[in-house]
Amino acid sequence: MRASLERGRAGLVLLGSVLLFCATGPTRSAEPEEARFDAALPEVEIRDLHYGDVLFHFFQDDYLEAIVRLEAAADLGRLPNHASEAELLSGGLYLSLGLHEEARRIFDRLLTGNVPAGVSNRARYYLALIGYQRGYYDEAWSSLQRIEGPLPEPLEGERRLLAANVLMAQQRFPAAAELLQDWHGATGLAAYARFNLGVAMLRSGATDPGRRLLEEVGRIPARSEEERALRDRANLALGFASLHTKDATQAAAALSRVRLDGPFTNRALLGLGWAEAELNRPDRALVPWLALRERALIDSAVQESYLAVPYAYARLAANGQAVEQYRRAVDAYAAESRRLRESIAAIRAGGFLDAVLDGATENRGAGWFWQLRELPDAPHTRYLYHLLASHEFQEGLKNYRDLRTMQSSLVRVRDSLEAFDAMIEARAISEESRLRRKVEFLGGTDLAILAERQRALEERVQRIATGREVIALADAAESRQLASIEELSQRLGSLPAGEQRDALLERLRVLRGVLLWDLDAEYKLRLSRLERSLGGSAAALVEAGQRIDQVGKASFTAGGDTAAFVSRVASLAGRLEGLEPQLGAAAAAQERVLAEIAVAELEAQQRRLGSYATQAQFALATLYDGAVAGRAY
Amino acid sequence: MFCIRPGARSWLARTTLLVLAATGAHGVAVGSEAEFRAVDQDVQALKKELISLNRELFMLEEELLYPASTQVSVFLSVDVGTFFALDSVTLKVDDREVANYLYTEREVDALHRGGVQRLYVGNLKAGEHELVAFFTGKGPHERDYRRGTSLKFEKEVGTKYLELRISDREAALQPEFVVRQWD
Amino acid sequence: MHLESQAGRPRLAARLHTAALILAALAGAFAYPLAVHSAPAPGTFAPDFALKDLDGRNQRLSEFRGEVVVLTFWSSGCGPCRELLGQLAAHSAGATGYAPRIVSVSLDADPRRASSMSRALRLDFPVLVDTGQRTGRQYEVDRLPLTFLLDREGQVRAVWREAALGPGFGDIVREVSSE
Repeated sequence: MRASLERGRAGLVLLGSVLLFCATGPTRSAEPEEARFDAALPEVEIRDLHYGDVLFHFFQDDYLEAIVRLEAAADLGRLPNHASEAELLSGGLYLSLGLHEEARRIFDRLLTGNVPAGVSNRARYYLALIGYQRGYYDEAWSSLQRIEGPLPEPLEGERRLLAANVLMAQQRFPAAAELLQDWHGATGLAAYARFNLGVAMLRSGATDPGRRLLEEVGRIPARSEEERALRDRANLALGFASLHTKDATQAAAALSRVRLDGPFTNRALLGLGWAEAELNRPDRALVPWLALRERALIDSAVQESYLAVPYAYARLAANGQAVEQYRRAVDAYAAESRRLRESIAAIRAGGFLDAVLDGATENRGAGWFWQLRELPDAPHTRYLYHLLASHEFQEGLKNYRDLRTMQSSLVRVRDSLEAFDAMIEARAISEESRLRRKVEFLGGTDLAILAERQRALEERVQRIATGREVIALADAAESRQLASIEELSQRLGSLPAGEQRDALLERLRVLRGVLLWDLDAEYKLRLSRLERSLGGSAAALVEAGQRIDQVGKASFTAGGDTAAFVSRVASLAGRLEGLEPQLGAAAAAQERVLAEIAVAELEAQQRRLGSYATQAQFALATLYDGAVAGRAY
Repeated sequence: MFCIRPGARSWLARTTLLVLAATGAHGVAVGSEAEFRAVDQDVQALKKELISLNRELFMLEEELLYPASTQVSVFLSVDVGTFFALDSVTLKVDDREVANYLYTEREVDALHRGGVQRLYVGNLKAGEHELVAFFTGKGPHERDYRRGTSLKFEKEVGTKYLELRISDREAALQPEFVVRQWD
Repeated sequence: MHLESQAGRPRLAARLHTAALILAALAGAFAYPLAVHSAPAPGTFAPDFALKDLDGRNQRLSEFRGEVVVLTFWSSGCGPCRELLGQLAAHSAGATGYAPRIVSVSLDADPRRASSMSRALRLDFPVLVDTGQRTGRQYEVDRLPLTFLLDREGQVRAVWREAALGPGFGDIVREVSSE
């Protein structure tokens, strides 16, 4: 009897020790789903239009667009009035995009510069957040300590919550409890603060106040899924804490408040059964345990129910039932173990991450503060629910998700580069033809003809000047008059001599003389005018010649501009080509790492199943012993 | 009759103790921790490179399409105290329609929070030009608004920035266009 | 003989503003070869647009980026469109796991006709009204119905010009969704 009792006890101790896997969840501190970075931005009047442009995209959660525009604007010197805010924003953007090291560098750099207190405080807050998320709790704490004075709400509330979380992570529960005691913050965060405080108090031994707080959170009117889950967690934590102190009634009360269709239902059902068992009501314990056993066996609480049910029967002295149920347990565990083996093989074969991400409908384009909350009901991924609690797994998953997004975004980059090539080419062609038309218009060939004419004219004028050819400078009217006089004179000359004729000839001679006299008088003036005019056209020719040269040069540099653009595009294309295989390699490496984590998890589950199976065998053996020893079934 | 005694209680106590004592995060085996960090570093570097590529593209595109000497950029901002939901903005430059933008809830929200939209970028020759803009939207009490403004401006060689601001500061509860020229 | 005054000066045109002209040439005349003037084919990016839906809310195509989108053009007078819309409605209501985002654009000049069609067919996806057919022109819609499948980046992956979607539809949606 003693031996069997001991074996029974040992078996049940082992049975119970695996309970720890089920209930590790609720005793961790809770965090709200989305930490919003923009709460941390200082309120500022926009004095640079391009900064406003960045914010326009940032406020739409378009982080990549925002950081691209921010950096471009900064490079082009378009943010002279927002230097420190822009740096803070870029730190936050990098953080939202998952580049925590770059963010950290930026925040560190910000702190060494001469920045307003509001900005440096925020930088310290975000450094603390990064530290906490990455597990560097001491660093996080010291960053928080360096924040000077209270931050503006709602950031101050978040800071205190973060500080409390850091303290709890450092196992400094009384300090965390103290910090959360007078916590006032955004109502959305109030419930989290209270939950964390409750847990902190429990862990530091202040059981009663801790329990009261958890009770309070367990009864909040929940308006969102997030709040409902938090309420469940609180009730679950309260329930198990009560079980621990043998307050089975309170345990049962708390656990009954957990929803029947939430993420904590299974554990609550299990705990409820134990509460009833504790109160010596194994028949009532069967109710939740039987319900639990109908659920999917991948859940460890469900696995445990396969042992709990026959345990209850045994306590009710229904040993026949107990034996049957233990056998059923053994079979179920064996089948499940087989499925686990298959899953391990499938995960090792690759591709499981895509299945995981596909199930999450809101995973795409989400920022770094996103967490995967549920797994799709696909065959091999269902086992990984426990990994959702793992920080490394979530980070790795986000990396993988981002790598895939980056890979598909390369299509757009490549498209842009092709477009640029076409644009540059069109631009070059258009420019070239335009310049060519310019040159033609300027009369490359015309110019030679003009120059020739200029030279001829200059020679002519030179001769006129040397020979004082006054007649050559006669204008049209004067030339006509001279010609008339000449003609008349000739005609008169051919007539027989007479007084009339001579008088006319004389008059013509006088007229001619007057004309010549006038021409002579005008000569200097006209010559200088002509020379000036020729000088003008000469200058214009020179100018035209220079301009043609300029055009020639411009077309040369325009060609140079094009060459510069072409080489920039070529360099970007080169970088693009290099990026692609690297993305693929990183994705493969990330998948491998995550696969290892997943396989380790599944192997742990296999071990647990194995120990459950062992317990079932022990219990069976005990029962058979009892039977053999003459006890009736 | 065999019966498991409530010496079972002690194990129950022990296990729940274990339950509460256990800390949360599922640790990663040491060997793969190093690999995990290495992959994480790689991913961050790749993201940085992608951001850098995109930045270069952005600047190149602007240089190609809108060189500084001829560029004109028109920005839109909103400064309304009371509820005003912007619906659309139409922009004409020298009597040619260059922008006709419909605003979604998300965009209106971003504008209300202080974001400034780069509504239009184009090229203009030096000299005088005219800008005409209209906006439509819903004000308080579901009232529809339609307002316009026009501006003659001088384009010199060099980028010209114009800001269209929808504001209700001047005439309370009445959103109006205010145009500012920036250097 | 008289002198030809001002020989050749108009040709020389002392007011040649060559430099200015060159600048203008450089600045003003870029060809934009990528202005989309052809119907989006698989491999190209779907042009962005914004239209009002039947509730009067503005919706922009690019805000759906990150999701797989089925974009379909229809009008109330088009019989095959009715059939197509019916199929799409059935697909979106019954699908699990791979339900793409369906966005429909009605080219009816009168939004009330689009509205009554939507009610009659009990459509549970957005109906955007393109009363001016501007988007229709942008997408070079020549026949109705016209349906595009867009991936998460906004790239066109498939085009259907018939009323019946066929079994290949589900397959390709699944394929694009799982990228």
